[in-house]
Amino acid sequence: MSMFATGFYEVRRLLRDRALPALLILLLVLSAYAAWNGADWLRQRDATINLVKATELEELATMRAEFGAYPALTPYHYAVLPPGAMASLSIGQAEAYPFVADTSVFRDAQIFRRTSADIGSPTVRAAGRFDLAFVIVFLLPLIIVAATYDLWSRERERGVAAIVLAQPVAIGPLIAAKALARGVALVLPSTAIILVAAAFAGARDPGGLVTLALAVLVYGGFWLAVAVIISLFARRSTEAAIGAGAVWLIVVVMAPSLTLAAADLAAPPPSEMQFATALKQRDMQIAERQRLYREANPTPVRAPAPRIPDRWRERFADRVAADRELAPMIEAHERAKYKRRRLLDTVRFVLPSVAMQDALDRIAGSDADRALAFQRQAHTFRADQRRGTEERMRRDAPLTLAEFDRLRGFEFRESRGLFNAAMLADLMAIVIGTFIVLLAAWIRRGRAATP
Amino acid sequence: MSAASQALGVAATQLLLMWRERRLVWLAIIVLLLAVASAATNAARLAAQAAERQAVAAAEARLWNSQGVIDPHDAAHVGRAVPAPVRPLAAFDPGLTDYVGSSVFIEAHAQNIARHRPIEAGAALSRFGGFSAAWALQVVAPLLIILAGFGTMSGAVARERLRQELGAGAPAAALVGGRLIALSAAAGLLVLAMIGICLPAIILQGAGQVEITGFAAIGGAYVLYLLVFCALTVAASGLFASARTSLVVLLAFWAVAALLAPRIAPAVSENLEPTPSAQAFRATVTEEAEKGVSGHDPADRRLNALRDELLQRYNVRDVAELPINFRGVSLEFGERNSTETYNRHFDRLYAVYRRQEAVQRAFAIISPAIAVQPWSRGFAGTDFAAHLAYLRGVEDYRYRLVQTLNHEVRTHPPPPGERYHLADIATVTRSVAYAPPEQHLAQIVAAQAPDLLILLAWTIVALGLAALSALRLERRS
Repeated sequence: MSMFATGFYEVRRLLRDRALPALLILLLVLSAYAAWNGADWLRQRDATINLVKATELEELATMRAEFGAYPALTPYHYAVLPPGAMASLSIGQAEAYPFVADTSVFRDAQIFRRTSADIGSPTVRAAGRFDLAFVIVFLLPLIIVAATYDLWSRERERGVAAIVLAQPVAIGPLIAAKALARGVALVLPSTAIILVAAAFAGARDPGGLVTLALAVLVYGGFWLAVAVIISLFARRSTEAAIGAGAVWLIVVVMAPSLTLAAADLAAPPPSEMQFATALKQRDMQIAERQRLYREANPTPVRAPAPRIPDRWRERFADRVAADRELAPMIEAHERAKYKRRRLLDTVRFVLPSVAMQDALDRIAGSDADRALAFQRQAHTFRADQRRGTEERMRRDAPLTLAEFDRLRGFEFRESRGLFNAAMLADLMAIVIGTFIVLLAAWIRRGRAATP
Repeated sequence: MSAASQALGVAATQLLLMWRERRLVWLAIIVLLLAVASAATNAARLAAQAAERQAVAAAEARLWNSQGVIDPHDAAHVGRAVPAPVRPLAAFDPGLTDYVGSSVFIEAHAQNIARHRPIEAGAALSRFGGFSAAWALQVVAPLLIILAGFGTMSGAVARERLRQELGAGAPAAALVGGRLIALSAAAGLLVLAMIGICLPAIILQGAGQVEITGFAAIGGAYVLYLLVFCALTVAASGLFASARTSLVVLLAFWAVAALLAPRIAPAVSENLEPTPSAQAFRATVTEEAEKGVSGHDPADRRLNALRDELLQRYNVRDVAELPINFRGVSLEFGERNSTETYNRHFDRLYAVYRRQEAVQRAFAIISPAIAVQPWSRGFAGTDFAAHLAYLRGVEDYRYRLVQTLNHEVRTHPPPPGERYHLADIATVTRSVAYAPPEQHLAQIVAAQAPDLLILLAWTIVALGLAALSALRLERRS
C-alpha cells in the first residue's frame, strides 16, 4: 500500500465524515465573528486617533490664526501610534501600551501618563478579546484535535489495525501518511477560512496574509503532531479524546497561565504606584529648590525686552533641568520593566501557544516591541522639539509663519519588515516543538503496533 | 429496602468505581495542586500589593502634609494618589483585579481615571493569565465531572451492568439517583478541598467575618454549579446508549458553556453597548464643563451671574470690596460645575457597563458559568461593583478635600499687598479623611440574586433531565 493510496483513502474517509464540514462551518462562523470584532475594534481605534489628530489640527489652526500675538515655539504636541496594516488580526498588547503621547516641551518626561487612561469595560478586558488570534491560538487546535484524535485509535477499535499491520506495512510512514492527509483536508481549508476572514476584517496586506498563512500552517502542523503522538498511546477513541482535551488544556491554558504566575513571582513587575509617588516627591523637591533659587536670583529685566519672554526661558530651563535630574530614576524603572518583559519574551519559546500569539501580534503590529518602538520614537521626537526650542530661545527667534508651515508633526516609522527575526523565531520555536513531538512519536512508534 | 437506601447503595458502589479509576483521581489531585499553587502565588502577590499600597498611602500622606504654608489651590493641584484596597478573597478569585486601576490620582478640576492596571506593559504571555482556584472550579471541575460520569450508564459494559441491575428489580430512579449522588458527592468533595486549601491563604490576607461568610456563599454557589454538571452528565449518560455520543455531547456543552460563552458574551455586550474611548470621554466632559449641558450655557456666564448676585447681596461694586475672597467662590463654583459634569458622564459610562452586564447575563441561558462567575467575583470583592465602590469613595474624598481647600480660599481674602492667602495645608485638611469602602453582604446578595435564580433554574432543568433519563430507563426495562 503506497503512502499516496493511504493518504487518498484517509482524505476520502474524512470527507465522508459529517464532522469535518460541521467543524469547518463552525470555524467559519467563529472566524467571521472574530474578524468583525477585530474590524470593529480597529474602527474605534481609528476614531480615537482621528479625534487626537483633529484636536491637534484645531490647535494648529488657532495658533496660525493668532500668529504673532505671542511667540510661537513648538506647534506639534501629540505623537500617535497608527495601527498596523494587519491590525484587525490581533488586538494583542495594543490595549496594554499607550498609543498617544503628549510631547509638549514644557511638560515633564512622563509623556504617556496624560494620555494612557483606559475606560473600556474591565469585564470585557478580563474575558479577553474575541479576535482572529483567539480563534487561531485557542480554537483552531480544538478543531484540529476534534477531527484527528481518533487517527489510529478507531482502526484499533474496529480491528482494522490488526489486519493492516499483518501486511508488510511500516507503521511510521502509515501514520504519517494518515496525519498528512488529515492535515491537507483540515488545515488547508482552515487556513483559507482564516485568510478570507482576515481579509474581510481589512487585513489585506499581501505580505501579511502570506505570513499569516505560514504561521497557521506551522501551528496546525504542531497540533497534527500532537494528534499523532496521542494516537500512538490511546487504545480507545474515548481515551484519545480525553488525552487530546487534556493536552489542549495544558498547552493552551494551564502551562502559559502557570508560567505567567511563576514569572510574576520570579521577576515581579516594578511597582508603578510607588514609582509615581517617588517621582512626584523628587519632582516636588526639585521644583521647590528651583523656586527658592529663582527667588534668590531673579532674572534682571532686560531692555529692550526679548521676543521670547524670560519667564518662558526660566520655565523651560527648569523643566529641562528637572527632567535631567529625574532621568536616572526613570531609567532604573524602565530597566526593571525591561528585565521582566525579557523574561516573559524568553519563556514564550517553550510554549507553542504563546509563541503563536506572539507571532500573530507581530504580524498585526500589536506586539509589545512595536509599542516600545513608538515610545522611543515619541521620546526622540520630543527631544528634537526641545532642541529646536532651546535653539530658538538661544537666538531669541520665535517661529516665523514660513517655518511654522514647513514644520511636520510626528510620524511613526516602522522599524522592521514583516519577516522579522522575532516573528521567525516564534515560528521556529513551534517548528522545533513539532519536531520534538514527532521525534518522540517516532521513538515510540512501536506502540501503534500493539492491539 | 427503600428507594433512598437503594440509591445510597448505588452511590457507594459508584464512588468505589470512581476511586478505582485512578487516572481521574490523579487528575483531580493535579488540579487541586495547581489550584493550591495558584492560591499561594496569588496570596504572595496580594501580600506584596498590600505592603506596596500601605507604603504608597503613607508616602502620599507625608507628601501632602509636608507642603507647609502655601496657596491652598496650589495644594489642590499637587494632588495625591489613593490606592485601591486589596481584597483577601482575590487569592481565590482575582476577578477583575488585574484589569482595573489600582490607584486614583486626585486633584482639582478633574476626576481622573484609575491608573496602574497590573495588566499593562506585558508581553504575549500576559494574554494567557487568569488561572485561579475559581477558574479551576468554573472550567476544569466540570470537565472532570464529565470525564468521571459520561460512561456511568452509557457504553456497552455500563449498559449491560445497568440491564442486570434493572433486571434484579432496582428502580431506575434509584440507579440514576445513586449515580447522581455519587458524582455530586465527588464534586462536593472537590469544592470542599478547594475551599479548604485556599482558606489559609485567605485568612493570612487578613480576612474578617464578612470575607469568610462571603467565601462560604461562594462555596455554596460552586456546589450548585457543579451539581448542574453532575446532573447533566448523568442525564446524558442515561439518555445516550453510546459512551462516545455521550462524551461528544457533554464535551461540546462544556466547550460552549465553560470556554466559549464566557468569552463571547462580553464581546457581544460591547458590540451592542459600545464604550467610548478615554479621549472621546474627556473631550466631551471638557466641552460640557465649559459650555454647559445644553451647549449654550457657558460656565463663564454662570459665574458672572453668581458674581452679580454676590455684589448685590453685599451691596458693593467690585469683588475686591466683598468680605469674602471671590477667587475662592469662583474655585468652589468651578469645582462644583466640573464635578457635576464628570458625575453625569461617569454615571452614563457606568450605565453602559450595567447594560453590558445585562447582555452578558442573557448568555446564562446557554451557560451556567455566566451566572456563577459574577457571583464568585461579587462575594470575593473583585467585581466591578466593588471597584466602583472604591472609585465613588475616592471621588467623595476628592471633592471634600478640594472644596475644603477652596473654602479656605473663599473665607480668607489675601492680606493687603499680597496676591494669595497662604495656609498650612496639613492643618486645613486635617478633618478630611478617606475611608476605604466596606463590603456589605446584603448589598452583594441583592445584586447577585438574579445569578442565584439562574443557577437554581439550571439546577432544576438539569435535575429534570436526569429524572427524564431515569423515566426512559424505567420504560425500556
